[in-house]
Amino acid sequence: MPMNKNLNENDELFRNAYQQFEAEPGPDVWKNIQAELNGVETVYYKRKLKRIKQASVIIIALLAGLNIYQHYYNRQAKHAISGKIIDNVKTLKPTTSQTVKSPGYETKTPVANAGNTNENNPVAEQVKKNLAEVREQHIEPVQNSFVMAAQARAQVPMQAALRNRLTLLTEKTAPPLSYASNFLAGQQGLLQPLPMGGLGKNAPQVTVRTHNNPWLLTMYASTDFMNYNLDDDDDDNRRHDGKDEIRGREHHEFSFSAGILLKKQINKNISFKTGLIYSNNAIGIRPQTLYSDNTLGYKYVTSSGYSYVKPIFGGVPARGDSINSNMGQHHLQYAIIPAMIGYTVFANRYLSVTPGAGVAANILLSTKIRTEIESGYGGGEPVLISKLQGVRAVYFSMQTNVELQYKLGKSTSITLLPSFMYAINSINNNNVVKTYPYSFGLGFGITRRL
Amino acid sequence: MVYPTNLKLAVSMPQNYSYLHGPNEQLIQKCLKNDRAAQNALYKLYCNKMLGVCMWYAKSREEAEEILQDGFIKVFKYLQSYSGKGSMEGWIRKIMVNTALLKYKGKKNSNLRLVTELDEDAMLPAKYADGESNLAEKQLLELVQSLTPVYRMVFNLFVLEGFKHKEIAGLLGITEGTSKSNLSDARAILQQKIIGLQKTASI
Repeated sequence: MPMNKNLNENDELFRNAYQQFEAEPGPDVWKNIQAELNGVETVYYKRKLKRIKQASVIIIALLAGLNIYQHYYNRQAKHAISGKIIDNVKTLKPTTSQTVKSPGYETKTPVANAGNTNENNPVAEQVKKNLAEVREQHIEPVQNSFVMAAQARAQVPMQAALRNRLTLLTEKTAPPLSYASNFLAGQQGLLQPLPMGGLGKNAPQVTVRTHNNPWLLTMYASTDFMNYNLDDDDDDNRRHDGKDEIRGREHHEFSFSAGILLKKQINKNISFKTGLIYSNNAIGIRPQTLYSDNTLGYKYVTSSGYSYVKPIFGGVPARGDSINSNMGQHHLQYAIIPAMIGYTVFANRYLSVTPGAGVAANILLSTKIRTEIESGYGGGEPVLISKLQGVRAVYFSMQTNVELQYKLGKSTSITLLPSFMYAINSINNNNVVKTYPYSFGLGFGITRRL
Repeated sequence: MVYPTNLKLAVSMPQNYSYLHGPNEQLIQKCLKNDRAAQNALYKLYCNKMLGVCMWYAKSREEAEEILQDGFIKVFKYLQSYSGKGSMEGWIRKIMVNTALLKYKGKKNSNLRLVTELDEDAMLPAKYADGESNLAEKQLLELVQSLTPVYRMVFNLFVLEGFKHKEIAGLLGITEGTSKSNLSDARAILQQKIIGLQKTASI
């Protein structure tokens, strides 16, 4: 008894000393901690920055390519119109010409017989015929964009809308184009046809400043219903983790995506869409037994990739050792850059329906798993896995969506965006399974004309 | 104060920290944003106490500072998993103990010895600067530090942390019987040393 009493007293003595003892660490300790923290953050931000840079380069390249194409297309169309009309006018050999003097410059225009109407004037009729041909071949695609733009201005009378988009200037360099423009505008019923036979000193010389189709920017958020198809990767170890086991312990949770979509109307019906979308996929993971296949730790395998965890209390595990994990949550974050072609199947003053399809590059931003490792005495030790192995940095997917837009005003619409995506290649690089995610999404957003 | 036997650091991941109360709430928020000044403030708040903890698990001050350093890196790395249910000091203290155990387990193969093979170095108590707690505490610390690593761990976990032998066996990878035997031996050694100190003091 005296021995036990001494032991208890000694224990209390040590406990008190343990509670009260303090010591001041040297200054190097904090310096080392700081250096370690800086190192961790540097690696993290470098990795993140690199992916953002990659995404930016792809977007810029896509936009630049589209702009170059558009510019080239417009220029070709203009040249075609100008060239054709000039040729036609030359062949008509007008009998006279009239000089129109305006402040600062003068313009010579072919003149038909004064006072004749279009119907009675053979020259005008010939021009009209040729212009009709030009219109069909070259101008109509461009003209469609005017019509689309005019439709977008639903609250503005059509004629006024187009007048806003046409700049009437007296200019000596492009009389033939002036004819074409006026004629076409007249054919569309948007502007009154100019009296071709009445060209005289009062006849306006009209040129068209063609506005490029505006970019439409849609900001949206979508709730996504994710799932995946799994295939076993025969090249890897499937002793404990096959596709059935993984499918059995994982379940998809609330996932979402949000971002911006940029749409460029190429012609009346066809449009090109790209953008930048952030996607967060959440997967719940049920408790499982982790096994060690080397000295790095216990292998935590998911449908996305794997990692090795080593509990703080654990030492170096031997091959075949096992440990249990509790419920976990897995987040996969991607930056998605789509390239899609849309086709407008229905459009009126208020509503348009544009299905689209294309491909998307899915750039991995981060992978995280939060779980707990059972420490063998009833407690759990939180584990945060911030990097998974066996996940591709980029995978590609097929994207389809239907853009339902309802116009609220001159430049604003609300957009409902049901979508579907399916992975073309697996998201894994070297995992026990090959995973092909797919998802149905329902997005809602606001579209603005830029 | 005896610490709970359950070393569960966090049960659930908090979505926000608004429910945290006390003077550390803002500090924690800033630390979560990797504000280095805040992290330094948190470090300064607890470093003395925590080095005190680490010293009981280390053979020397240098080793204790290594544990302190690794421990604080874990603190900042896993701060988001701090549930706020217990005190911040208690949470950090547990991380320090865990880190010390991990270090011990890493060196287990080379350091685990029988009581008859005492390391001469381990018998030499570490020297500390003046002004660090009172003499009695330092002497007791030196006595514990003079134990072999396995005795020190078993003694600390049982007496200072309040673990049960079954839990200690699981933590250290030894049998329950070995844990009891090591504790008994450690206590005997310490008691002898305390008697020796008392005799010296009475002369």
